[in-house]
Amino acid sequence: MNAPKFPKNSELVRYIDGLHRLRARRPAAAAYLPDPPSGTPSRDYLSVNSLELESLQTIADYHRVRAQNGRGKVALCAHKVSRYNMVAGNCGIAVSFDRASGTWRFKDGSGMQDAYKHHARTDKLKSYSHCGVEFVRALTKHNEGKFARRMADRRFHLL
Amino acid sequence: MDFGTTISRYEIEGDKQPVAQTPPKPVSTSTNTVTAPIVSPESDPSETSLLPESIFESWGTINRVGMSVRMYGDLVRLASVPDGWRGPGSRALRARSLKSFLDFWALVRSEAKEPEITLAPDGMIHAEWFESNRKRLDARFSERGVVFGLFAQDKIVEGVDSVEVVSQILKLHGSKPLSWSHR
Repeated sequence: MNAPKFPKNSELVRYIDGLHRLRARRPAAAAYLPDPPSGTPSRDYLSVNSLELESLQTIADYHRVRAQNGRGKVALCAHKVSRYNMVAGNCGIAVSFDRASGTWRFKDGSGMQDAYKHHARTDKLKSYSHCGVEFVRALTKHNEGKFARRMADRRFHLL
Repeated sequence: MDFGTTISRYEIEGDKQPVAQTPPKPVSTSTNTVTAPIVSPESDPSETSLLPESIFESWGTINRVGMSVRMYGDLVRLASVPDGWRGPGSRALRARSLKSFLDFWALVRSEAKEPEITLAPDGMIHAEWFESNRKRLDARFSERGVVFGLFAQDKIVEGVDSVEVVSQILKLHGSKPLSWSHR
């Protein structure tokens, strides 16, 4: 299985659940708010899927089975990695490219960490493109809102 | 009231980026508002027992502030969502958030369009008024105040304060964000 490299022009797709679909195919800002901390920082990330690894349709099919009992249209919202990086900067988190490792990095209390990680799901459903936006765990409570409202600026695809 | 961030309470930045004894079920009425149903002694108790507890608890306020059937239905829908609705850690609607939202709505209702409301993963009500990507407002009703963000006139105003203060800020804002509605 290939791992995504997260080049700045590659896109990350966020699933928009039914509760967060507003009129005119707008995602609610709340769709981009991270879940409350789990107590295990490595598990705290914003779930996305990388279009480097799977097509929009394959990703939609996965979420349809995972979250919608195989029924209905799936709402997916795509943003480039560069957009995520820029919004991180708006929210006080500097994401920079580390040439040595070829990865995007950010700094939090425990040092430099990967800003994006591959979290392929190999369970029954399988989602090879599942990834995490890791820097969200470094957002303050206030900046979570800043992040979410800036990301919710794009209409979602319905597949 | 701030969440321990270093930003000022209101931060402005340029952003070039781009009523009844019992609550009714959310059904339409001729006036399209939530009104008091006539409850007879023979009413089937199961008629209302399916409504979420938080709606029952806030019924007095809901009835007093007034809202359309659509918004009432949205509130019932949000209040029906269980803990874990978005995965581990996500929380059901918090009663205090509902109270905070209703208090806010009572203060602004006379000059506001009804927002689209959703639930944040921490169980807080999240309301949005939208006219375009450059003119939009969102507010999250937390137990510690209202966290809001306003995009208008190529500026962003973001902050957190009490229900009373935020309602005043938004009512007095020149772009009249509470009247925005994308239909």
